[in-house]
Amino acid sequence: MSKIGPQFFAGLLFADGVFNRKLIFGVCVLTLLAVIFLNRELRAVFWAPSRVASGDASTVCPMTKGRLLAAYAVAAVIIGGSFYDFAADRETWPFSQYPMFSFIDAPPSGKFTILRLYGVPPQPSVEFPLDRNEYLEPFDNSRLQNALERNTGQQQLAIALKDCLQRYDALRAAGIHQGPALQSLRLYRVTWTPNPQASNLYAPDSRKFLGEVFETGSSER
Amino acid sequence: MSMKSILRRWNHFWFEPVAPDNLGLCRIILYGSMFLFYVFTPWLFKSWGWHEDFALWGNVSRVFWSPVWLLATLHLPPLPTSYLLVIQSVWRVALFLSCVGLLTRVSTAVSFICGVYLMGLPNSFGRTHHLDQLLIWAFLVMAVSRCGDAWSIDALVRKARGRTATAQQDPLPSGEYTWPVHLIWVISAIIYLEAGLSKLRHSGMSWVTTDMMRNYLMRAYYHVSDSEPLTSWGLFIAQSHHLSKLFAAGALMLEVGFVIALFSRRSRWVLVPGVVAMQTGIAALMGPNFYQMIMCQAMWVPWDRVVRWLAGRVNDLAESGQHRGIERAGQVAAIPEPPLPHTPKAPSTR
Repeated sequence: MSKIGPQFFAGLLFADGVFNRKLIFGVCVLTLLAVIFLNRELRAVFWAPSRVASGDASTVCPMTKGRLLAAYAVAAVIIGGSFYDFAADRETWPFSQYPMFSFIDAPPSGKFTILRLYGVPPQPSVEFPLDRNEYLEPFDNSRLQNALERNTGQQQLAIALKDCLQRYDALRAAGIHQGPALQSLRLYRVTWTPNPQASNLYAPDSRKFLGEVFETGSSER
Repeated sequence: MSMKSILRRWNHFWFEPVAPDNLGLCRIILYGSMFLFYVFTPWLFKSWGWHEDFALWGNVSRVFWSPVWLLATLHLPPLPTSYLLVIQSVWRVALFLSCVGLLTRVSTAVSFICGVYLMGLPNSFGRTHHLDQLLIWAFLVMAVSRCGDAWSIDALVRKARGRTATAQQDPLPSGEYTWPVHLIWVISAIIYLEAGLSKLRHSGMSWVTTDMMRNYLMRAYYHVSDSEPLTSWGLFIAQSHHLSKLFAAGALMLEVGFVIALFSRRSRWVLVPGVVAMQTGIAALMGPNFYQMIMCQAMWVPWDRVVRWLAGRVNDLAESGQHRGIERAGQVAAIPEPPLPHTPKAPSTR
């Protein structure tokens, strides 16, 4: 076993193109365990927490082997899952590679585009952005735009916007927000070039109309 | 350093025998703070507290449903509001029972199982947020651990029912009480490390050297986040390219370097308050709040020593109070009593 060194593990990792990543990960873990368990001394150290030194018998309570393995199993699942997700750069909640704020997804000017809902009250029929989280809770501005982005197909968009309009009305009726009654709800793709005063918050660079749903139930695109 | 000596150190880190007090106190703090957080924030902080009321997701259209991996694998559907209210109530009761340590094995397991479903629910509607993963893992670790062996009603009941002198004693020090707390430390360090490495992987040092942070700071004020920034200071920082880069460098260093806290006790004095300050700063400057993660950092505090220190202080105060009382009594005794005014002897009625 002493011949198995870092080169072996490196070789396994570089075999990515040949084998499935899960297989490589599993083989690495099993090899590490084999190195530990095939060596008698290492095995003794591994089980040490389940034994007690002769002088400590009355002052220390050793762990049982089952409990020791349970502790290792929990740690292996959590830590192994986290590392696997990081290695594969994927997110399998509750495991994650924690990619928040990682991407440079804007040009140097910082220009960015999001989906935003606008409400249209009957009188005066001047639309306003539904940009307060209270308007559509439990959705928030962050979740809502992702949720809408996944539903930009014609049929789904109508259902999604209808749900948002009903939610707005229900929350208004419950007194959660004080927004005006709406006659329709519009969805736009809005682009801003941010500035350090946020002075163009209500004057975005551009807006692209994506769809509208009315209180009567009709929708257009 | 030989493999054997590495394993010895490994064993010392994970399974050094300690008394059950710290784990018991960590249990009280973890579950107690989360019970208060999830019960009271919807009432106290109207502008964002509804995030913590999971029952609201029961009436959201299924068109938005995009389950996270675990819920998809287990085929768990979004339940109606009435069911969610029941699950949420059970969960809150379980959090409370876990805190006080009543039926600890069951209540911690229920806290974990219900918590996974409830916290997975919002993440299955549009976007995954990363504020509660550490909490979920902490709940799993606590559920498997023997965290109810001390500072719990279960322990009091066990002692009261114990017929032998051994059964009435506190549990002996064991490795059982070390690994859960240290595993929560390790998970916490991995989360920050991966967050930092993800930034380097996807953006490299450009994450610091470009206007990345400045753009994130400005963007936060265009109502794109799950919560609004607590202050407008982010815009002030964004006015300076250098200041924004300094913040980016500081955040990246903290995230990547946090793992040092596992090995160096001294560094914990800087790194743990550092990440707490960083996450508080994110809420103040950019909006997203990581209060659950911040609370989990309390696991780094050796609560048994804190309690011992506090108890010592209280004893000292009590003793000095007693001492002062005795001294005062002595002083009072030393003062000669004023002569009583002469009172005529009452005539005997006999």
